[in-house]
Amino acid sequence: MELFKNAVDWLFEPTRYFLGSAVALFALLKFRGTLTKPVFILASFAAMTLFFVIGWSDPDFNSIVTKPDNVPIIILLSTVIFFTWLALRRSVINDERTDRGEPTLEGEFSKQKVFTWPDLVYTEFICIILFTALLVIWSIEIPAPIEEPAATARTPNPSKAPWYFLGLQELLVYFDPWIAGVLLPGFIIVGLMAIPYLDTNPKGNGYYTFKERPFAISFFMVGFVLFWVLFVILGTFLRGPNWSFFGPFEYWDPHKLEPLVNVDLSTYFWVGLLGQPRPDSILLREAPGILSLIGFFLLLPPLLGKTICKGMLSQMGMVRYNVFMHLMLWFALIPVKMLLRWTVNLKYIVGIPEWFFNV
Amino acid sequence: MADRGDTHYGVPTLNVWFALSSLLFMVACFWMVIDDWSRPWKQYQREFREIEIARGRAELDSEVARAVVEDERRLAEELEAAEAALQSREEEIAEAKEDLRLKKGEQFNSTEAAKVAKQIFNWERYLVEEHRIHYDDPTYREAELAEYEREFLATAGEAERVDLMVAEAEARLEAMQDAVDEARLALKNAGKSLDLTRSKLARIDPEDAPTQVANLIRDFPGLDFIGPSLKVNKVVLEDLTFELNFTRKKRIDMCTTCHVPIDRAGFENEEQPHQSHPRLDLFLTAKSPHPMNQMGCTICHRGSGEALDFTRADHNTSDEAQGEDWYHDFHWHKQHHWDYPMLREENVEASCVQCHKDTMELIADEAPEVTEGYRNFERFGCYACHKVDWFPTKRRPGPSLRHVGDKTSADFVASWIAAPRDFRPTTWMPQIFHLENFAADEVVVTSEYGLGRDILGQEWNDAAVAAVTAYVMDASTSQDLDPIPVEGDAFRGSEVFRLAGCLACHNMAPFEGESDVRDPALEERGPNEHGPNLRGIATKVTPEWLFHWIKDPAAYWSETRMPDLRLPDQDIADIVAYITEDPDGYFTDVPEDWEVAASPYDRTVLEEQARWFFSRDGRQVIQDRLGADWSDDRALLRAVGEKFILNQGCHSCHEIPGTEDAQPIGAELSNWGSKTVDKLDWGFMADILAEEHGWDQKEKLEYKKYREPWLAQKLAEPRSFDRRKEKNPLEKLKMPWFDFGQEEIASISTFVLGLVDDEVQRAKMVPDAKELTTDHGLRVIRQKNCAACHVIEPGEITFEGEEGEVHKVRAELLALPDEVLPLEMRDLDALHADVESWEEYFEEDLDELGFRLLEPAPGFGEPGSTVFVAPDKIRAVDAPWGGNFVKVVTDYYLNGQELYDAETDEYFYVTADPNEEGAVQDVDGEWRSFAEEPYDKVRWTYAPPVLLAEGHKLQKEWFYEFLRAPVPLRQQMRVKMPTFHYGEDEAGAVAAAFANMAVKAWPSTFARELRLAGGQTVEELAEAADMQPRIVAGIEAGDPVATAANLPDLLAYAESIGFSHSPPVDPDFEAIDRRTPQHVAEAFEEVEGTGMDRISLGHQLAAVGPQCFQCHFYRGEAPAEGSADPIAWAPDLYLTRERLRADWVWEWLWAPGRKYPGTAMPANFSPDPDKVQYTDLYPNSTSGDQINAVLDWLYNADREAVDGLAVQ
Repeated sequence: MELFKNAVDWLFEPTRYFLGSAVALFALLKFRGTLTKPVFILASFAAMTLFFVIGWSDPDFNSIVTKPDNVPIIILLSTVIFFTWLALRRSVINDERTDRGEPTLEGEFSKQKVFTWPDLVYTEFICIILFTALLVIWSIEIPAPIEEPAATARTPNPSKAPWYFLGLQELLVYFDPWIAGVLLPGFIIVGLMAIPYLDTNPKGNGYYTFKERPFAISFFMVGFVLFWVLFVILGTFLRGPNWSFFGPFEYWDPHKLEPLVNVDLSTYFWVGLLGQPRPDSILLREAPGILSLIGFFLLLPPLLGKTICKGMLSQMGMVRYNVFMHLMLWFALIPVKMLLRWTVNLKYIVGIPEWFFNV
Repeated sequence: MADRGDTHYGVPTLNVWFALSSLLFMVACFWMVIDDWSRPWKQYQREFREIEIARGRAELDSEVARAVVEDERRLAEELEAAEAALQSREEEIAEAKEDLRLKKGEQFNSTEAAKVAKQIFNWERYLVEEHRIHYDDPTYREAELAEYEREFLATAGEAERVDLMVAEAEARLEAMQDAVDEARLALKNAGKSLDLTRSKLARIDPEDAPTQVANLIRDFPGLDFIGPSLKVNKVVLEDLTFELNFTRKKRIDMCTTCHVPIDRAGFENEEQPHQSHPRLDLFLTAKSPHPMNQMGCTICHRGSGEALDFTRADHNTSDEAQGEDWYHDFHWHKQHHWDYPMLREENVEASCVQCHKDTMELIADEAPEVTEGYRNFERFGCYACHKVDWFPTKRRPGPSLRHVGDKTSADFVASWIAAPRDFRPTTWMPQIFHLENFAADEVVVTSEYGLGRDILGQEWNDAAVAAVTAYVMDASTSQDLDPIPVEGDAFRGSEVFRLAGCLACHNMAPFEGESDVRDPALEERGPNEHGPNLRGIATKVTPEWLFHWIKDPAAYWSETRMPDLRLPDQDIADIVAYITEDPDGYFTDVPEDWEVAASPYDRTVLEEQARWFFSRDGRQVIQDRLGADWSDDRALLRAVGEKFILNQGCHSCHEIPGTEDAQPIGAELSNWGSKTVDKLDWGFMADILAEEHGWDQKEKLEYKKYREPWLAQKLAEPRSFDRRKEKNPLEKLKMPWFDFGQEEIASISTFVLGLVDDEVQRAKMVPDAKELTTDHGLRVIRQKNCAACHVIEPGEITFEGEEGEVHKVRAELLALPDEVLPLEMRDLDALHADVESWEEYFEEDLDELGFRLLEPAPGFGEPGSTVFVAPDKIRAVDAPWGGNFVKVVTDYYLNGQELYDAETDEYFYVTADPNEEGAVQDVDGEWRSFAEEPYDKVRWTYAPPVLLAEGHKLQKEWFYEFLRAPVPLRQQMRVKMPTFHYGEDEAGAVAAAFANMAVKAWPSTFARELRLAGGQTVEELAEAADMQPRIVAGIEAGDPVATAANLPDLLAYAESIGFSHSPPVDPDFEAIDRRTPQHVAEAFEEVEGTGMDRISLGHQLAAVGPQCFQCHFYRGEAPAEGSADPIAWAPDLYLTRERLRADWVWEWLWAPGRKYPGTAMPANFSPDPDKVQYTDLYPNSTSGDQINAVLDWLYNADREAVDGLAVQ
């Protein structure tokens, strides 16, 4: 049992957890034909149930999972898995049907018309009542946890954002607050608003498909499942006091230490590569990082436009292509920075604490 | 809705879904309301209501109540009869009423007429007066005006007549109703005693259906927000707050919602939560010092005051079984989000500290645990390393090491530092080296930055001890002590040693506690552990040092508590000879394996230590510091030693040259109790203990949820939080090991838990100047160990009377007939053991024990009276406060010096003079035997005086001067009041404390004297004074609440019956009335029939009457040769006027035995008017006149000489 728990704790270490999830997502999309067979979803739900049953006896696991404010995350976990499966499953079926020249599953239905009343409004109303009743019962059975009176001098440890913002809070591990807390959320909002203008492809409207929109769906899955849902789960269950990482079966010890051995890019360049101390001039010191960023944001779009994204550039036109590319690059910066942190302990690409400018 | 047939979902099906879901929603809503309504506290309130109903019914069913009900029934009948009688006179009444009605009409008319007439008269008068002035016509309308006036007066007269008629008529009507009114009032009053119970019962247990239904509706789910009968009780505390987001939130305690009767007496035997608070005299009730509406609950108990659920309130228990029950019943666990769980019962006194910081000594009786913790915190010098911002004691607890080279050898210092307890098991100095985190056989570090050899804990510590020793010895400067000027005599020294007072603070208890030692020198208890145990001391100190130390301790250590005994050189030399020659074998006795020897150290280890300590400074610094002396062992030792001293905090306790300005090493504890648990470094202790005790994960986590276990572990094994940790030698924990016992750990923990953020002090309990000085004085009394020699408060004996009733008197045990020393008053067990051994030794049964009252005890007698009680009737014996040393002195005078012969295992007495058996040297150098003297005489003459009610006796200013520079009062005493080194205000505080204690004790003594004088029981006095017996008993017992409220009534009663008693001390300033010019002038007037003034009369009386000068010194001169042996000497009478309070001397002269039972001073003036003596010296005088004259002389003795009126 201890072996199992240790193995799980090991497996859930952020790097492994994130990369493992990425690989799993890739595998799911790649081998969706096989993996979306009902037996797999049943098996995965069975495995998850088993995991919870086994974990239940562990007081640390138990105390985290049964915290009243963590219950929605458990529900989120199962619904995301279920709906991902459902969508993919139907995509697979639809893609097969399209290949055979048959209409999609939804396509068959869409020929029929239904009435707003009662088919839509009445059913929605019933759902509202049912869910309200459910919420009432939930609030009776699992009362909201009341904490101590808040005090300025004493912040709770860990201090956690509301569960839906835990993904953003996780980014704070890798980025400065102004990027993680201001810039990236801004880009998320702008990016979401820009979708109708960037993605004018009508395919997949009203029916499930993967084959027709492989890039869009994969991109969405990475963004939502990997960077939002998984981070929420990570933040809820695996981040404890001092935002330290704790395995599911680990005691949340406020004294746990984690090494802080991250190094700036400028140090790598000047000290590591050139074997000399970092120059005093800030701009000179940070030149490698600044140049890399310029390269990343200014050179990559035209370069990609000339090469692998040639089609995209011609299809979208210069403006839309550039907007899209920059949003993409900002998005890509997140895993890039995370990978750099994990692999070479990179602290900042550009680190100018003198000006509060760190990337 | 009908099914149209063309919809996707069938409408009937949707209807069914709609119905079901709505139903579910409705059920959920009802469930929500009921869930919200059903709270555990309501059940408690209902339970308590049942208790109250049962009590109310029982009360109404009692005999008294039944009699009242019977009364009521009878009175109701009477009322009915009276009403019937009234009914029968209906016509008469109607007539009278009609009469009254008509007369009232007439009254209205006449009154109105009078008013009008008065208005008209006033108006006309105004007009006439105006006219007369303006037209200068003084007689204008004279007659008319007179007419108006007559008319006005006539109407007024008529109105008055009619008023009288109305009043008569009213009275007639009232008279008819009188009988009924009286009957009604009687009925109303008859049941008054029960009305409270009845109205309560009517409220909580109504018998009428409408109220029952109303109550049901009031408490109905969903309606109970309007005006429920079960409701949340809260105490809102305006000035006790929580910190909450830039603001301070009022504390709101809702504890009384479940603990309903907590502030009401009478529920002591109920189950929780229906129990009364155990100390209602101190807490919660309106008259107690901590009323509930000002203090609430959580400020003392902690826990979450706004929680209404057992677990959420964060209750706490130290009783494991109870904890399991709670878990079972309430799913009880620590509230994770509440930082201040309820204090466990054993720690609850911790909360006293937050308000009583400045009055810790004053609360010692009521809060013994936390004050013991506070005193331990001081005694063990915790404050020296751990700052506590308000802690009153600042001195370094350990001796100065500035001149330690004079005192002892380097080898001794080394072996002492290595293990102080090996030499002196009872020392307060903790063990610093050779502790678990530098375990002997574990590798501390690998030398040469990990390239050299492993250094083991043993080597590390040996080198450290050598280094510290080297530094301390080299830093010490010599005081160039002169050689001892005279040769000492060891045997005489042994006597001086016992008599001069050494044993008051020191003992020589053997290493392995021998339980049955009779030599007081070998006993350990309380006061004589004030200084170190002196066993083995001769192996430690040099004779020269010892001589100079005893001669003037402050010269060696300015902050020492050892006083200057003002001994002559010969006495000191004798003591030194006694200690160094050690005929008894106490002072050279050392523990078996102990020897004065420094452990060898290894040079490599020392170098490695230097590397660790100086690495931050850099190699260059060491080089600079040591110069070329890196190879010089001594220099290296010194350098490393200094670092070790600063590292281990030796300088916090000891003055060590070169380290005076260094900061103490411990964490500040000023608000440790407010520190949250997650800020404590638990190390791996939870895991280690879990392994040891086989705890599961839950128990392991539970261990870390409270502060208390951490603290207990830290105190017991200070360095255990290092276990299994990898640390470099400089990071390891440094707190030394004190070898605390469980009780010390408990008390210190309680104290430290009470060190919380100062939140209450500003709001509550600002002590006044009197409380502050008393507290300060009591602290000094404790720190100077006054109680070792002086009895400050009498002991208390509790015994059973003939009818099984329990009495408590303040008294002392008398010497038994065949034994010169009285049995000891320590506790009941000790007394019974003493009685048993006495019976065994004398082969005789002890039928009764005598004890002498030290305070008036109505029913038993006045102070000095003797009470006899069979030993088995004694229920408790509380030792007096202080006076242990008295036994040493009296034993010496009566028996000689007690010694122990190890060969025969027997104790025997010897004296210095071999010619005369049992003789001891008196102060005049004569050898006398006191074996035949009564115990009392020896005790009052040679032993340190008792200080009972000393504040009442002494003038505060003189007391203060005396403390600062003692003058000999009883010249015959060998033990002398030493000269203490008082800090700022300390002597003044002691004098003030005694005065304040006297003020505090006065009401109780007054009440006892009053009752004693009247020979009444409490009930009788209470009835005579028209007070409640409870209040009278309260004043007698010194209850502050009863005294503050009701003493004036008692004083008024005493005055009314002519009882006189001396007034209380004025602790601020007292003028001496007998020295005021008016009084002196009067005293110098000639007294009729004597030819002398009162002052001369007084002098003559003193000299010739009771012959005061036979025993008393006067103006520094001893009584004339041959008039009295030193044993009868008494203090200088010339000091009286500046030393004693006149009230006290007045009482003293009447009856010395009432003040000091057993004193040798005779009662010279008879209170019996028929037996007045000395009328030949003072014709036609009463005893009172004579005493008055003596007092006038005593207080003006200095004036007498000036005026040339001295009398032979």
